Amino acid sequence: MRSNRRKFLKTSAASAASFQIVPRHVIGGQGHTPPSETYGAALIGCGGRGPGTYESMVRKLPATLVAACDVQKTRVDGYIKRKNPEAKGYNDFRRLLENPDIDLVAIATPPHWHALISIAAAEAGKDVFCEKPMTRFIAEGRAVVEAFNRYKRVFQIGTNGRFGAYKSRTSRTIHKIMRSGLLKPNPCVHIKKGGLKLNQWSGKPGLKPQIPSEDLDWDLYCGPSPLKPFVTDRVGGTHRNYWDYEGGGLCDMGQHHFDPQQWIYGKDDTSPVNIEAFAPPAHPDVTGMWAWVELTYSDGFTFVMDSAEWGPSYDKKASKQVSLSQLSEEDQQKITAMPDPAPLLSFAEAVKQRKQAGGHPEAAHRAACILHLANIAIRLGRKLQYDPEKEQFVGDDEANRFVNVPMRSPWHL
Amino acid sequence: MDITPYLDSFPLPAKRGILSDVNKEETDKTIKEVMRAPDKVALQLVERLIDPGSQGNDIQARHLLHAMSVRIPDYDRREGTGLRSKFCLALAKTLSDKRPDRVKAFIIRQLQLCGGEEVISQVGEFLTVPGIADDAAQALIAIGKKSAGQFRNALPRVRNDLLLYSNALHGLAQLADESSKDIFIEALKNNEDECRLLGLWGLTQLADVSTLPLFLEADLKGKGYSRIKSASYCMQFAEKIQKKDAIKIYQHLINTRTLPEEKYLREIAESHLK
Repeated sequence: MRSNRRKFLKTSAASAASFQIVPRHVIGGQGHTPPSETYGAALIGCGGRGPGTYESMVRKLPATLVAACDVQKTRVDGYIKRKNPEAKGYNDFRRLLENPDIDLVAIATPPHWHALISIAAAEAGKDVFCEKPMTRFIAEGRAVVEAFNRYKRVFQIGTNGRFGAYKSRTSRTIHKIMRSGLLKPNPCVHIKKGGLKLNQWSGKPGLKPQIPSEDLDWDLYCGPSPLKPFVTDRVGGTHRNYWDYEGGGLCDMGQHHFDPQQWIYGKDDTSPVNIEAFAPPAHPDVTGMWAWVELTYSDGFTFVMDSAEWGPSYDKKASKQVSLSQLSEEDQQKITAMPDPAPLLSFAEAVKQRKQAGGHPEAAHRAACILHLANIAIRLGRKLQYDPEKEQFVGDDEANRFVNVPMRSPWHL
Repeated sequence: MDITPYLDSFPLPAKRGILSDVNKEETDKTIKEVMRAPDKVALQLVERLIDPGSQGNDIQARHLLHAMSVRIPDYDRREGTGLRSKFCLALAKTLSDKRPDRVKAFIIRQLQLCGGEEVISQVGEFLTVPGIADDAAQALIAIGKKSAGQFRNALPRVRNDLLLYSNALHGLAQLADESSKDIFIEALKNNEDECRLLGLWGLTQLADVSTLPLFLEADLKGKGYSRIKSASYCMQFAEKIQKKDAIKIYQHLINTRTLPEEKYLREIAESHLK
């Protein structure tokens, strides 16, 4: 925990009136954490998943909501009223990050803001728990990784599957086989069929512009994304259906599905090199149909997404699991003798120990890259070659325009 | 050329208003056919684009034009017949006609995906037009460094408009334009925090050690979030230069970030001096 204690908590503890509204664990006492070890926490993005994301962040941490922020005033007011009327409300995350009483920031805005707010929070010295998907495009993820390395802050992506994967002995064995590099070329294929909410998170094109409600700061909502005429579907859960803010059900659910698989298959530090999609031409504004995407790593290992909601099923390769039996006896013994991978720290443990969390920026970025690469292949309608080190497509300048999408002034990575 | 059959091969909203009734074979076939004369098809498609707020719909026209924009670079690479350039020039030419701003913005956004050097002057014209300047700037940034001249040319014309000025400054910083060193230095004196920060970012992008004294002087002007952001530019500048010069930046941070809540910054700076 940082050595500078929170002023908010000091004043709360010193004030008899405050005792009535400050949670018991902030005041301290038998069985409760004293205030000197309580974290000041904040939520940015109070609608939809926001409150749930905040609760995930503070799980097993002594924390108090100090501040909340939303571009829609009624949302932040409503959340604070429910959660802690003492907390301060903001409409602009930059003002919230100036607040020195905050240690931890939960980010639950639409994804086009995830990277910029994560970076800004790290720059302000805060630890971050960020809702998935981590980013809207590939270069954002690299910038988040660099910022958290620079500031030595804790980042955890808002998906927990990899912690469960670690608990499975089979998964740990697969992880060791994959990390050992002994299975080369790697013939294995992991197919994710369904669960990517294709129809649910496809957009409606051609909606007519509307007037935003007075309490919504539409310009700040759009932020780094293009300032388009307001349409109700662009806010709330249906933001997922617009390329300007997310990337459909594939991006929305993909990090849940592929983040644990990426850990199991030992791919936290790399990305696929060949990507092929079967999809009709994408619409410029809204997300739509696709049948399957095949993503192959340099060792031959393949991830497949099969939407199971449109078009033909994927039939190029059959599913094939990694197992010890694919190795020679000598290599099997090597794997058996290898120690288990280091345990993955939860956000709470990472914050307390000042160590990297299990869903750290590089891993979260690489998992998000799987989704972005898939969506780019869907949108471009051609096979793509990707260089995981340079994080650029090979010989395709126009595809690279989807890797680092220019932002609206004054926002930048 | 009648493009109606081409448009009809693209879907209209079906169930729940989404484009679920789409036929990949038909749409792919259309794209292949329109690539025979992409410039002519583009002109006709543009004529069918309407302002988003007006009656009617242009869903199929936008969809087909976008499909052409994302796929034409690959056709061009395979066939080597200058298709992309022809298509982009045809699109850029339509920008000088009288059309709704949001239609022009859409055309510019397609050029962001496939445009090259051949369209930068036509797109650059819109850096001085409120409401479209954002779209033009992002298209030019995507096209790349050769667009920087457009931003430099626009600056004197937008000096009195904060949004347009910061938009142009932002473009130059994003492109890390070496010819804009003096522009960034001038921005450091700007009373608007946003412009001063863009000046600091521009100089960070260039990482020219000769600008360091002015850079560090301007760093001290910010408060609150600006002060936080400015410290970040300091660290990024330091990462790009030789250690003997970087030390000056880290020492500057230690000397200036003295508030209790800035302890983390001092600790990071100190770690670089060990």
